[in-house]
Amino acid sequence: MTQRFLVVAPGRGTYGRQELGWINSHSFSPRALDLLAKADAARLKAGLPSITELDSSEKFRPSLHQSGANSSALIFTLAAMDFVTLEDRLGDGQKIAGVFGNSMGWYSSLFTSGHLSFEDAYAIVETMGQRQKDGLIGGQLIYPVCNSQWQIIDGRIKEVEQQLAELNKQDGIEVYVSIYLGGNLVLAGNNAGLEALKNSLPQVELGSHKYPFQLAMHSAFHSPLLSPASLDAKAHFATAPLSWQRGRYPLIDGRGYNWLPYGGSDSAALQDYTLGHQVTESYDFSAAVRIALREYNPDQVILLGPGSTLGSSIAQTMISERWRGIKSRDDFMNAQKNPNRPLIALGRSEQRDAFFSGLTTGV
Amino acid sequence: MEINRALVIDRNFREHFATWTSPPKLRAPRDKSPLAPGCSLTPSEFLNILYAQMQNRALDLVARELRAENEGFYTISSSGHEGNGLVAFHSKPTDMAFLHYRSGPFMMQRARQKPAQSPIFDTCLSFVASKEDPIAGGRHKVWGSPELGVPPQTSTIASHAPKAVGAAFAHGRSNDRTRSPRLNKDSIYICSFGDASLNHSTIQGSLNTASWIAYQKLPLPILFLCEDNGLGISVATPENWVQQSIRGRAAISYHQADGTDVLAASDAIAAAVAECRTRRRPVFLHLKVVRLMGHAGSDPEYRYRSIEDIEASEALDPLLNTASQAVELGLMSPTELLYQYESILEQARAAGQEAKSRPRHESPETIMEPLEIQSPSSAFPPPEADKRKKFWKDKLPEKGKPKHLAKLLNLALHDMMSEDERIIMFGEDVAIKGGVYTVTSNLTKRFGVARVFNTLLDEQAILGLAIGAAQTGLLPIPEIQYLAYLHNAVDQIRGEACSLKFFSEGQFTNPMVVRIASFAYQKGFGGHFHNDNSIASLRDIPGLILAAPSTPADAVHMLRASVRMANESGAVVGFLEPIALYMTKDLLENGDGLWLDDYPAPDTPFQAFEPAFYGPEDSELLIITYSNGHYLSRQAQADLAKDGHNVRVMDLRWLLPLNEDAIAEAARKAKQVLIVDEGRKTGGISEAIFTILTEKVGGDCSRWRRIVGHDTFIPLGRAWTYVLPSREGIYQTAKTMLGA
Repeated sequence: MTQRFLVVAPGRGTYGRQELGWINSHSFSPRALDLLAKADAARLKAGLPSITELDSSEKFRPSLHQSGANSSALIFTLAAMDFVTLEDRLGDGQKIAGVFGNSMGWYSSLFTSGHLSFEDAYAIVETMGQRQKDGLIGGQLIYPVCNSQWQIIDGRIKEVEQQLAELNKQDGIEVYVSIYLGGNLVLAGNNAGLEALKNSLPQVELGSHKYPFQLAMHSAFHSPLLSPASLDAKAHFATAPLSWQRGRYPLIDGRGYNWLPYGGSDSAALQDYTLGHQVTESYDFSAAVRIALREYNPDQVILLGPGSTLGSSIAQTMISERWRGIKSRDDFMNAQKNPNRPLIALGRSEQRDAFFSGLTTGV
Repeated sequence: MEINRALVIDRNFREHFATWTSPPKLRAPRDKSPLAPGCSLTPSEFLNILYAQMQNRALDLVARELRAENEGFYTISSSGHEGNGLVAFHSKPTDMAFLHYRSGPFMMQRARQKPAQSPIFDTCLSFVASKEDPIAGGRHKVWGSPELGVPPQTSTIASHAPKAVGAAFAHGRSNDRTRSPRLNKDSIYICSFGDASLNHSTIQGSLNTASWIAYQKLPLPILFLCEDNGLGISVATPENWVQQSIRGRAAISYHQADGTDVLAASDAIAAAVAECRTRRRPVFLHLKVVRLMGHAGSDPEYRYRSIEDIEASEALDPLLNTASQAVELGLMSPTELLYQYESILEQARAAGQEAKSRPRHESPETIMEPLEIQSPSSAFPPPEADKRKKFWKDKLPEKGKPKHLAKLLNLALHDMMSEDERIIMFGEDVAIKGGVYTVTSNLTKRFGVARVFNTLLDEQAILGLAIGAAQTGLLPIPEIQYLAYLHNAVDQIRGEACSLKFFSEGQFTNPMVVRIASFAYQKGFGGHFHNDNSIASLRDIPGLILAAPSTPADAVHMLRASVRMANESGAVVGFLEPIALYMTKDLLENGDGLWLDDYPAPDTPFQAFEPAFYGPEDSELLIITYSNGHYLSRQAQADLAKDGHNVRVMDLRWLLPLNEDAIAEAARKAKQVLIVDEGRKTGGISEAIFTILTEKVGGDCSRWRRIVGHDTFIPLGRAWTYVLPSREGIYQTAKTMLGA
């Protein structure tokens, strides 16, 4: 029986203090190191600090590592390196059944699915990153819609959506669901909108955190507030065309739509989605996970590094899907104790090491 | 020979591409030249079609594997019918599709048109009859999806065709306010069936109806998709039968396409769809396909087909052909193609394994959930007073004199139609004539022929129109001219209208109130066909509601309640109007006017499913009855009162579901019970009531008797008096029971 994996690329905010020094503390295939070299060269050429330089800084500095101009490129490159390392280490009878990502991870997925070269996908990351180099456009905050067992509370998402609709009736306020992120919603808004949300959403305490919680250095991604960025990007890539390729793996987008490989996807439609809907409308990561689990039913889901915070969101959708009988956080945690755990986070050393050492061939 | 042809077909496919030497170079991505002359598909479109075909094939194989594991319960395959996917490709989810069972490629293809679809897993859930099957909740293997515009069909005999025609017709009668949000102004309706089903009366009737409508230049955007694989289980279709029998039908446009050849068929199918859409006329698309893997997994095809014949079909495998075209066109290498084929098969197998772990039904309660009958809300908004006053020109009907049943029903229909613009009425002679009994008089004049119109003389078409119209968003109140006429078309209620909620978990409904002029007592005129007293064929239909009013005011209340239930819970209601009481004014003697009623104002409270009682609770005798039996019992009650007997009459009013608790409670309070059922002795309501008394009341059964219709058809002339309950008969039996 073939062992089949779904591979998920993380979004922004997954490179934090703990990830500093990632490159030196993990092993990569030579092809991954080639990608790093390419990224570094492109960064230097653009007058930006290289990925290697950022990752080997002595200290983690949010203003440096989490700035729009650096964070996306860092996460994109490291995820791509993880992906090719994974690809290179897969043995006979092991395959990637499909790929997807969260938010900025969509651009990574365009690379991992084989629809864009590393350079072209990187170009999108850079271009979108530059749209905000002059400052943040609004912001994002995170708000839970699940209980402590990671089960989505009946009707909660709808309640929040209704509240957004109410707030949007007020002058000067713009608020949207930015990401449907398993047991959380990422909400986007202009500054007045964010304030209104903080004042009106019922406070929730989950674990040691209090919500709503504003994400530092994030713009109001996946909302109409980013429409100018979308138009800019469309104009930019009209003059600097992307070389779309046939793709090698099925790719699931932020609506749960399934793009098929080997030429089965219309490049123009894919570009249109990437620079349009994907930028200005909600990113339904929950739908992506749901459709991925349902349609591909992998043996395991692999979350690329850096970081592993997206893992809980994936688990929350596994729970709402009752996938493999997982119905709660406890069920998930128990399942994770098995060698064939449902989710492998390559950003967690013990899981990464166990997984890579379990693959039959190595580089 | 290998009996398992699925294995052979799978092996053929693999060998074909594994042994393909020196394939053409891959086509350059920037190559904009057409794939083939006369084919407008782009490379990615072509590959999308190929993938949908592969998904379908994988599901066919997995269905058989799950069956072998004793986990799957459905093996009718769609392999060979891949061409129907092209119809999905060239249509849209706003084009409602009534599909037959070999529609896997269509569903896979249509699922490509919307995000967040999981057709492979969903299909596996239905194979294993899991409760989580998103369309039927595991109650049946059906193709269906609200989002994809596919109401589930249970039909293996094309009995979905009348409603497809009905929906296409009703589309022209709806507007932006009344049309279902799932549809567009330019929607077309697709109805697929096989070449063998073409011979079924449902399709023949539907083609005739379509032709009759389009011949009058009325719009009818329906695409009949006849998938001709040349076989109906084991019976071969005569050569050229389909085209010979269809070509030349008035006002139906015939198209043909080779469903085994995507490059050749695509533009032809696009043209057929376009003609249907733009010209709003019926199109018959004759799609030549083959049948692979037998009729079903359990079908020993080799017993009735030679191996040469079977292999000849397999050589035409449409998937093999599409995949070969992909390689020949340089869209994929044979290696990539096999990799994709294998990946999709693995995907379907994994989905099947996950699906079989999902819960199944384990109690009648969960199975029957969608059939649950909900009472109408008692708090409903009263009609807008000003609007209503204007409609009635200040002469509100409730201010008028008492009137008979037919007139009050007519007034109620006026009220309801003016209030709810989704209501449409139709049937034989209902328009200008106002129906045989004037119940629909003046409605056409007031509301126009678009909302109240005559149909052709075909009950199957009338009920099909009702089902279809309801699915487009309208609220149909069709009329069946006589109860006896219902029987030639009753499957439209039994197998279609009432099963829709069951097979869609209530996601699709076809609310309607079917008015049926019913029952006997027409003083010797008309014989059986105008006096039919049998409702046995309706009584056991799950989910159906049967109303049988007998007084004018009840008729109004019950019609309003029926329409509310249709509106609120998508109910299908059979409304049995007593012909003999339509014009009845008097009860006991000429001119007493005791059977006339005031028109109840629309905000008058009324509780559905409750019986009516006449007489004191603590009576010596309780008569349980309905309709004409109620009328006769009330006469007998008066006769008995003269003799000093205290008798209570219970009018059931609702015959399905029977209010068992009310019957038992009333019976417990009475010393004796007499059931007066004008239906037949066998299969009539009296049997059910006797059972309720036995199960819920118990004790000495000799306290209960029944007077029923004989097990006969109703004869002509005075002979009818010998076979039906009468005033005198009720009186005499009651006297006997009362010991006088």
